[in-house]
Amino acid sequence: MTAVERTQREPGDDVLIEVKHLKMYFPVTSGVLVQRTVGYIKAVDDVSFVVRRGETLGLVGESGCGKTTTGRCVLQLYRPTAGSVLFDGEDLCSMNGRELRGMRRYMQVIFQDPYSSLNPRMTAGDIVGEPLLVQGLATDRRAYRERVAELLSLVGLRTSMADRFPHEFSGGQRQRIGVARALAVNPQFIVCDEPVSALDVSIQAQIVNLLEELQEKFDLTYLFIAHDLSVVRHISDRVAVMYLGHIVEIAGRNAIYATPLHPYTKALLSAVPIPDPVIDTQRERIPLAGEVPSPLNPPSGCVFHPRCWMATAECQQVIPELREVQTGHFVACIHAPGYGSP
Amino acid sequence: MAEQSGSIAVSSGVPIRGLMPGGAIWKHISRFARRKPLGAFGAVIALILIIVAVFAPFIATHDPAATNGALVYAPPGSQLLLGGDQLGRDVFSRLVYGARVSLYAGLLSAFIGASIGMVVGVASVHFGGKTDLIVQRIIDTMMAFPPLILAITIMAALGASLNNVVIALTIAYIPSAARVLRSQALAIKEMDYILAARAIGASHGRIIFRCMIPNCLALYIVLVSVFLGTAIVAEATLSFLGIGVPPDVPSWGGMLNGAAQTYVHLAPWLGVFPGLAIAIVVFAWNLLGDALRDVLDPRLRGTW
Amino acid sequence: MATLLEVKDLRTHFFTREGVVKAVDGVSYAIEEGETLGLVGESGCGKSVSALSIMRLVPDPPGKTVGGEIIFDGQDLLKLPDSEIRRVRGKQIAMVYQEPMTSLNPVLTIERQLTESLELHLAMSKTEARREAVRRLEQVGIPDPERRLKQYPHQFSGGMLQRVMIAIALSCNPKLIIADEPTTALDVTIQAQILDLMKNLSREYGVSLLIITHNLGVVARYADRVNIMYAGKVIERGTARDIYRHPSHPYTLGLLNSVPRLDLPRTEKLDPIEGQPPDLMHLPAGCAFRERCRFAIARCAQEIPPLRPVSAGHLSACFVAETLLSRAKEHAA
Ligand SMILES: Nc1ncnc2c1ncn2[C@@H]1O[C@H](COP(=O)(O)OP(=O)(O)O)[C@@H](O)[C@H]1O
Ligand SMILES: Nc1ncnc2c1ncn2[C@@H]1O[C@H](COP(=O)(O)OP(=O)(O)O)[C@@H](O)[C@H]1O
Ligand SMILES: [Mg+2]
Ligand SMILES: [Mg+2]
Repeated sequence: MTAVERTQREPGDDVLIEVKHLKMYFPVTSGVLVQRTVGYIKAVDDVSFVVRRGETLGLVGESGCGKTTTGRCVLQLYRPTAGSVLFDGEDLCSMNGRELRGMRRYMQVIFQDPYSSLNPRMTAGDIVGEPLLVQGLATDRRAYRERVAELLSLVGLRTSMADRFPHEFSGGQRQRIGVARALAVNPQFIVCDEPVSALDVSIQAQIVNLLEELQEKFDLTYLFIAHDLSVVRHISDRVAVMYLGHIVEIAGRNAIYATPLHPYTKALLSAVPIPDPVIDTQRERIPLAGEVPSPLNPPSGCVFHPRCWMATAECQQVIPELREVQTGHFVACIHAPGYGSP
Repeated sequence: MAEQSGSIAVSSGVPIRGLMPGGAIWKHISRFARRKPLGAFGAVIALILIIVAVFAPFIATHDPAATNGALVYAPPGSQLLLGGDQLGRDVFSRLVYGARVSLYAGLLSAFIGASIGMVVGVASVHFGGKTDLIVQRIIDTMMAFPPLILAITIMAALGASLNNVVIALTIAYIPSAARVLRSQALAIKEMDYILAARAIGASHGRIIFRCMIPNCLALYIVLVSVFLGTAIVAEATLSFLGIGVPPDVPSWGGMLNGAAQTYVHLAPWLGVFPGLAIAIVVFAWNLLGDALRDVLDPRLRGTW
Repeated sequence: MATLLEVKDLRTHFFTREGVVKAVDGVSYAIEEGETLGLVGESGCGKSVSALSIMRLVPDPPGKTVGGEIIFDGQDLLKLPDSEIRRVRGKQIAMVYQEPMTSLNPVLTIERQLTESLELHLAMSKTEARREAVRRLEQVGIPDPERRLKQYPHQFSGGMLQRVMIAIALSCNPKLIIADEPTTALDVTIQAQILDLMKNLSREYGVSLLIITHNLGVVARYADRVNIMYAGKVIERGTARDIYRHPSHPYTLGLLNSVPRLDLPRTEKLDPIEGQPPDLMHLPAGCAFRERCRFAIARCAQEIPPLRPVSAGHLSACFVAETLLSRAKEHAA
């Protein structure tokens, strides 16, 4: 056990999800007849974190940094290359297909794209009811129908909409169907993969409020993935910042927004537009040069160093581990105050 | 929840409430006929053809096998409705009887071939990885042979009979159906709703049959119409080569294939009428298929 | 400043089988020379269609511009013959789209796509066009332009492609660039880069910018003036300061309130606009926002509120605009 795990997981903590040294490498193959692996996309590269029961852990970062992959690995929708994912102490990575199917009662997912996440040939009612059938949670036809109706009204849809097909709903309503589907099995844990990114701002707030209400009502635990830092601040208890397959900073919501320690976190925060011309122009922007490098060929040392304005020669060599620099505030930057010697 | 209106309950078929009240079926059919007259027209033609095949002895005016020296190459009209062939047999009666073999072989092999091909293509994509690779190589190998050669090879192994013709043609169509539906399946596999199905713990069968295949239907319908036309002709070719049904059993393809090609300048009706019969079958299916595709597509619900 | 483009009472409708979609229904706005104008509204409110109408690129059928005038450089674009509108497109008014990947041709090199319009509109020779292309790529901050010119769109990242799109848009020295959601598909960090770039180039060359976005926050820093659209109509217009500090239409206010803000203390609950935008085919009588509005009065159900001034240069299409305005001012003070 590294220092990270010991401290992220405190004694007496009610940890629901524990991710340890998670790696997901996608092989890149070439060749037509005989496929040869020519390299790996290191989408997630040694990521460890915990999610406590009833909390929301926000996961932010630019697109392509591995947020979705992390979420899917946690749910075992992708089988990770290495590492372990403990759900209430049980290792999901060592379960077989049948055991995992049983675990799906306890963990669910909400997708980003309200268009591709609903089967166009199923009605809203069928979509919401399918988990009940698959998991054998409906004892008879009446119970099934009542539960579907209950789920629909829970997410703010009219019961009469059950017979409509997805294309007859707006983006926000589709997202509500997705939420209802995730809730159908009464899960404990939901990975929300950018659930509001594809929605209009006025609708985003509706869905965020809905997710918060449901969390309170059913004591849900969320892994909330997003690239919008303002939404993440609103909904999360703690926030993890990802960059190129690594977690570079984790801290409580207030700490990370008030005193970000990693240069990447600082740059990200400074780029968030503020809807007020006076404030937005006065604010200092940390311009981040260039773009996220390819995870096929990540930079040596600290993966952020080519874009970092604080980088020194050392950063090119040392891979900084995630260290606790203040209580509950972890950062992976050798220049962060309190980080100590690399 | 109210009874599902307007859809023929294909969508997802949740067993718990998928059943349709008995009377509703007629309501659906009459609605279909009103909203999709062309499709209904296609269905009627198909139905008539099937009735003709079943009741051939009552409809045929002559014995299809009876030769008559006086009627060799008799032109269509007074003596024989659609003329006589090189042995003086009645073309009309042969067409009527030929519907039996042709529709049987054509419909069965086209539908079964396309269906199995669809399941193979979709399942192969769903399982992916090594399974997909192996299935693809097998399909490549099968596709290296033209379907007819493949069918001939299979027939050689099975022996001559009508049912074996159906089996051979079915197998011959599987690889191309699998290949064509594969592209569609690959696109569907990337959709989040497939992942969502996995996330709720759906079994492989459920994902393949409930999630992927319903979204492939449009392509499937097109594929069946392509196969239908070729299957009727291919049956005849097999028979002509002596590995299908005996040559004296009438079939449309056989009529088109045999004397018609040699004597087409003398007696064009030998080729025209069986050709027309095949065209009508394909045409009827196209009309019906187009309408079905719209009806089965929930996005078009309410517009039909 | 002189007015570069004036859109007057533009009406673009789609005549579909199910009915008439009034995508743009009586929109008027003007863009001054060198100005950056923001056009903000939820998806489906008619922003893109209004931009396409300016370029006369609305798919017809089913779309048709059924009324209004678009005065550009003294002439009505809606009355120009096809041959002349083509000379305006690309050369005088250029467009940058949301999805750079789909607006570039995947089988042509960046060089071909950049030099094409130079050769066409500016009658440059091949070598001249090439030199110009290199210069343009440098200008939009693409490193190693000589090598990049030889590459195909798929070899570029989203942000880089958007830079290429801007280079193409700038290539013929247009007077106006219409950017339709130019950063919606990009990360915040890249979004800032792209908008900074556009703003700088616009200052440098005196090009006017029309930035279309669904995210109010995006244009706060860049736009001189902002138009807010709802259901095919402009419902509020003013300087960026007016709009963000003293919103005087309930919809604008709702948009501003529904987003969590990093510069303010965290609130316990977000304050969304309830309901959803109306169906443009079956618009309710009166104000289209009425059903979602907290300030609606009886009059809103009967009349469509006209866009009218509430203070100098600040217009709102709401019967209770004054109340909102004074509340906003009180709140700010
Ligand atoms: N199934 C996959 N096969 C190969 N590469 C993948 C796959 N899924 C994701 N990737 C790659 O992994 C990286 C991280 O992707 P993702 O987790 O989707 O990022 P995010 O959600 O943060 O935008 C990207 O470079 C992406 O191209
Ligand atoms: N080709 C089309 N046919 C019918 N309706 C259309 C078409 N294109 C756009 N519309 C309608 O016009 C309205 C405005 O669309 P658009 O301008 O693209 O919105 P946005 O503000 O998101 O850019 C939408 O409600 C859309 O449904
Ligand atoms: Mg993602
Ligand atoms: Mg648009």
